[in-house]
Amino acid sequence: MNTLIIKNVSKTYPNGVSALKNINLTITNGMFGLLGPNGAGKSSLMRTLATLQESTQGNISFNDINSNDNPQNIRKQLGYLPQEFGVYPKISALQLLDHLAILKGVLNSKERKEQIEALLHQTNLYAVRKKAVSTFSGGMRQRFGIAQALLGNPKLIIVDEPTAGLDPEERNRFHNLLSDIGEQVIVILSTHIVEDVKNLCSKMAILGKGELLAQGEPSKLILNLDGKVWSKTILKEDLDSFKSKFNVLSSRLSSGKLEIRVLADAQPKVGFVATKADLEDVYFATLNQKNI
Amino acid sequence: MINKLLQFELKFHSKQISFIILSILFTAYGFLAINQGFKYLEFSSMYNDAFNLSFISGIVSIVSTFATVFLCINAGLRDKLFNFEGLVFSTGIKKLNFFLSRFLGVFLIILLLNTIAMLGVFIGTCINSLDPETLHQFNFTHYFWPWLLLILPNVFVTTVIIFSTTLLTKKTIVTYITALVFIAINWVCGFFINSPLFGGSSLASKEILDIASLIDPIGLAAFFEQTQFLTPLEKNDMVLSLSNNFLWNRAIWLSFSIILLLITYKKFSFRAIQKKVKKQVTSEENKNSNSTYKPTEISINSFKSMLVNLKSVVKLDVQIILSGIPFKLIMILWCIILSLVFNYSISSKEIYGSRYPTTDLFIGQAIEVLPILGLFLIVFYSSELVWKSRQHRFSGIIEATPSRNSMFYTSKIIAISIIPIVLILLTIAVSLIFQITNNYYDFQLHQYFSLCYYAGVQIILYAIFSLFIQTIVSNKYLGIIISALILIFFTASRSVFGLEHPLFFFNKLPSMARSYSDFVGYGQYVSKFNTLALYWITFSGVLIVLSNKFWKRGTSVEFKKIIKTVFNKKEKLQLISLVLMFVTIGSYAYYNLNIVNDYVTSNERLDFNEQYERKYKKYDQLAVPQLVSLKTNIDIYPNSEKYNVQSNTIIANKTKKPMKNIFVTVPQPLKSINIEGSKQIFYDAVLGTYLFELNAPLFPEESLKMSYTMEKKVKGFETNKTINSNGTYIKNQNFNPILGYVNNYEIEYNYERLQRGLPKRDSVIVDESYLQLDSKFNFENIKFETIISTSKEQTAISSGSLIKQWQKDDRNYYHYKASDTINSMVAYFSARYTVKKEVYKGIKLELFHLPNHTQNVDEMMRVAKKTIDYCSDNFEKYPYDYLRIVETSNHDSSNGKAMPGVITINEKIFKRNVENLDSFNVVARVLIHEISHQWWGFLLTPKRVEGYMVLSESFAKYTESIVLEKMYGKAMANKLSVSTINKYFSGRSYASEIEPSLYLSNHQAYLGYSKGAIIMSAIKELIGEKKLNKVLKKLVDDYQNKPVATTLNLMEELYKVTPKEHHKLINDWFKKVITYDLKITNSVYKKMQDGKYELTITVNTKRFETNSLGEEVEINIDEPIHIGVFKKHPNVLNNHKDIRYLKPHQINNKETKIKIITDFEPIYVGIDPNNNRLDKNLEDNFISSQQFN
Repeated sequence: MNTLIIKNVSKTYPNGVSALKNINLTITNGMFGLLGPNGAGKSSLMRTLATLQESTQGNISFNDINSNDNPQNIRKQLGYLPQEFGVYPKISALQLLDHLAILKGVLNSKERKEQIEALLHQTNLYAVRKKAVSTFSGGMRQRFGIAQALLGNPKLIIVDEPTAGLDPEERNRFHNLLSDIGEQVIVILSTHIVEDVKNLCSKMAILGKGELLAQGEPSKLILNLDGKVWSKTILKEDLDSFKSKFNVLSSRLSSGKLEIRVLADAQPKVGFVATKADLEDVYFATLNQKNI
Repeated sequence: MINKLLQFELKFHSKQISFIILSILFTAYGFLAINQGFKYLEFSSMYNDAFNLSFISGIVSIVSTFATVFLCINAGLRDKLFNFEGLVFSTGIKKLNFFLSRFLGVFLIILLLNTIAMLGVFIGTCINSLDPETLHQFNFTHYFWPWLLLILPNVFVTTVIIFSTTLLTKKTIVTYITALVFIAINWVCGFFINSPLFGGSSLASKEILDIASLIDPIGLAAFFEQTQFLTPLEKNDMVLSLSNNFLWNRAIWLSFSIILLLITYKKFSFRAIQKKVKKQVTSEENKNSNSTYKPTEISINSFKSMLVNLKSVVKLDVQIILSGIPFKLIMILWCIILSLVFNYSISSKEIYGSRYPTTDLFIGQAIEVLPILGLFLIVFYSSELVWKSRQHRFSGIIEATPSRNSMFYTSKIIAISIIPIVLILLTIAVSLIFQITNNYYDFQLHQYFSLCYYAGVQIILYAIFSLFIQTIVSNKYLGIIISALILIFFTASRSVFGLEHPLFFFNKLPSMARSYSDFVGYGQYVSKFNTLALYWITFSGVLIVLSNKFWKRGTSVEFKKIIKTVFNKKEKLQLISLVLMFVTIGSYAYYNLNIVNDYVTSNERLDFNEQYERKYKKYDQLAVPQLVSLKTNIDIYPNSEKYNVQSNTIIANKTKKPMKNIFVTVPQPLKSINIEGSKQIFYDAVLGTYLFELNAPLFPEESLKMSYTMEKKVKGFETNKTINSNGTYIKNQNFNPILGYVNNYEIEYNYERLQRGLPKRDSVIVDESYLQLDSKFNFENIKFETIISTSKEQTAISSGSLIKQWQKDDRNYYHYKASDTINSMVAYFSARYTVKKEVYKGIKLELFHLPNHTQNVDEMMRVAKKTIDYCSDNFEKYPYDYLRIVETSNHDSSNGKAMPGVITINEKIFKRNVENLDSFNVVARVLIHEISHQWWGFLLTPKRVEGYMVLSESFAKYTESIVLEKMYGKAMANKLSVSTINKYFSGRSYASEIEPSLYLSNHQAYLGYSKGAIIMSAIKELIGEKKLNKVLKKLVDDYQNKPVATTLNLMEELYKVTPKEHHKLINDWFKKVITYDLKITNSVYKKMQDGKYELTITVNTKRFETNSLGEEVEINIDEPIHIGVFKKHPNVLNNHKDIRYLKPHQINNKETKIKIITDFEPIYVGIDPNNNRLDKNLEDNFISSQQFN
């Protein structure tokens, strides 16, 4: 069992922006979802975990080894897919994977070849393995990204917004791949898409304005809201007045009309229907609670 | 619209920090250029005269090329760099407006920067430490005119070229290369024309000048061509004339730029620029695979893993450098430049002949440029390597892998070493190709290896430095600017805040470019180079440790973090040991440079001169005894680089007053010195002076014994030109104590004297009566005897007959003794020589040379015999029974030197190629000149007073020309006189004083060597060779063994043999400064009834006198000038039969029509065809004549 302990981690950038504020998390094997709106500090946390930047305060330890003192330890066991990445022009997928595998310490050339081939098959890139990565489409590139993150023997896999820009099919395939691996190691998935977390993650945390707002198993978090979510179909023009009167979690257009979901302990008003809470409600409720 | 856009552009550029930095730099540059560049008036008589301002304007526009690169990248590529393209091009902006505003923005800013530099020059002339007497009054035209003709067009041309390539290719590196090519063209032009910027004293031949003047985009070549013969006075107020080559140059480059600008506007793809439509691949579905992913074991810390890692990273990094077209372009460019330079250096040039393609020649030239080119490439590619992964946003992935910083860093170093390696290998390849195609097979491969070391080390140290800078800065371009500025500063400047010690200048290693000699290789330069290299290597070691520590990993670089860095134990250990080594080697170097040897800064040298004058000027009036006999014992120990001297001399009072005190100045510290019957009053060890008081006064014609001993050993990093392991060359004046106060030690520059509180030097009025005064020092002849010993494999040589030779204790001994008195300028040689011997008419001819320098030995023997014959037949019998020609190492810079019975020839003359009869025989030229000094200088020893160079050098040049003509024909003598005339005009052009007349000339080479030679040859034409030689013979006969002859005696003898009507002419030539402008404007002929030809020539003849103010005024002409009619152009004319007509015509008008009847068809017509008049433009002295129908 792998354990990643994040203790009192804060990060302030030289320009004064405070990106992370006193984050505490303990993550073990399995898929861990990190949810938060843009600018919540997800990428900052990810980069800090990936040793690309040091935290201003606090400790991160992986399997009891402190990563500030010994970043090499985490790097050895790390698979990292950054939010956005480019590649050198004119270098093929195969060449680049080979290079990265070597950097990650896969020295035996036979094993390296086998692993790369397996990854190329699994990410469905085998047919284009000799093409330059710079010519890949967005989805292919993202799959390449995950392939490289899996090179070697990673025990901690960090994927930052991996499904952004992928079509639904690509996204599905991607999710399958991740969940296959997630059983043996820690996979941290950062996203602002609630559905991804719902489908994949056994544990999750919500981040907002650099603070940890909530954490736990998604089902338990949903349980907290059980019976408190109400929905109603309203006219578009009325949204503002509802927003001022009620704790509106979300609004969704549905065949020209607006369906709003409201958080309340009891039926707020006639016309509101009790609805089964889902993870999205949890997410918005958490954010609303902190005024985010 | 365009106004607004332009305003925005200007605002944008001027708000960049780089603009502020550039403005400061340009002002400073202008300020320093005027203050430092012309410290001692090397170029002209006034710092800020019209010539210097034009010159600086040209230089400023070269320098501004670098600024243009940055601004063009900013203007042309900023949208792309900041991913702004989409936004800009989706606005409604018109192509023309966009194009014009961007271009004008750069152009105006660069123009502003150039103008600022000239403003800096102006400020420099106001607030400065310059001698006010050498300051020209402010004259707006002097600034404006070069601004208009040089700066404005140059800025336009450079901006257009660099802007266009930037916009068309959208690649930084291409912009960068364009600028390099641009500067390279300017550089090659400068190299070919022998530009003053390269230390050339006179420009190349007209053919080369014509081409280079047009090609040089900066217009400097054309500027130099136009101004090469201006007198210092003319330079003060000259106005660049927009004519001839300069006009063409401006026209060609401006029209080229305008066309280029139009093409760029047409071609430059506006809006459509979005990346080429990429062929996007899609992955085909491929489900039938059975391999599944499983984690694989990794190993990180093993040595093997590091090697495999490194290999993989290096492969990628090297690919980054090598794969680009730019790198290949630069390498091709390098090969082209090398080929041009090599070809030029071995090809025949005027009077310098051609050279064998020897390895040291090629290596020397390559080493001069390699570090500079290397520096530029290193600065660029180190930024490329460091920032590549970031630029491609790949760094996140790479840096999260467990590979170590040191591995990445090492890989960059290895990859960047490819640059010097490829450069050096190409250099070697081009050199070898040149050698093979010229059938030269003495490759000297070991020398090529030395190139790898001497050039390679420096480039790699540059790489470490700029990688370090790139590591700690937060922006690629900032890194480029910072490292380029620092490195160029360290390389180019001579002192930092008054510090000029090599230990302060990063990577300033002794240049090995001119340090190779076939005698000892790099000899004494090696240990200094090695130590300084090691010193900077350990310093770079510190940089390496720090670079590793601060290696960019992750997203943010925080300067604070760098300061707060905590080093771990291992790093501390590395740093401490490196710093210790650095300090140790530094102290060792310091010890060897400063303690073992006196390290003298230029200021300290002046301090010495000042002290000497202050303390000892009072002995200036003492009468000085003369050396009359010299007996030395010299023991040379080549392997331990030392020699001992024991000297017994006799000094005599040759004056008319008794002497009581003897003041002695020693050039080298002596071990002991003794003067018979005297006591030593003081010894000043600092300034090297003694004062002796004689017990009884020394009366006229009485003599005394003086003896001294000295020991000289090369210590530390001394590079001693007198002694080394092979090729010792000790001149008597290297150690011989000087009797009397040495006036030459005094500081010459009056302004420097003023600042040190010294009185102005008294200016002596030099006139005819001054020539007759007794002078303090004279070239009195002496009795001479020496016993030299050296190691057993070397031969020792000096003047005098060899009376005994023996071996003792494994050493060779030679006893030389002069049978008669000889000149005191003797020298002592020792090296592993091979000797070629021959007895010719009772004279033992011996040529001592290096065993493998045999190419020119036979030719030298032939020339020696011919010269002895001519001089003996015409002047006087050769005075000794031996003539020794001794090869010397090129650590001594002169081509040759004469000692009594001995002449030296520099090894570089042994490597000249005289096989080709069409190229100038420089071997003969040097040899004849030095041998003839046995007559001119030794047999006839002039009095040491103004005009002495006429009686030695002018006569030697005369002999040189005459023997050359007899041996190799008229054309070669003509080439020599053309070059001599050019040297005269460029010499006077750079002179720092108003030109004196020839007979009162002092040390001016352009008078003694150049003008004197032409005047002698003109007199030969006027009165005939026989008569002139008789005059010279008479002088030898009358003044042999008495150093009293002056130019007055020469003129007196000349008048005796010259018809009365020519006395005025001779008088003019010697006593006035006369120049000519001769020209044939028209020449037509018709065939007459009797089959003969009637030729009508129109000649323009102007005559000028330069008066005592330095002004050139036209005066009347009335003298015979030769007119000739030829079958061939005189440059290739060797056969006497090709001269159809050659007779003097009395010319007394500015324009004269001359009719000549010839038997054959007149093809070429020339005025003064033998170049016997000082005429700036010799081209128009010939014309091919037209048949008149």
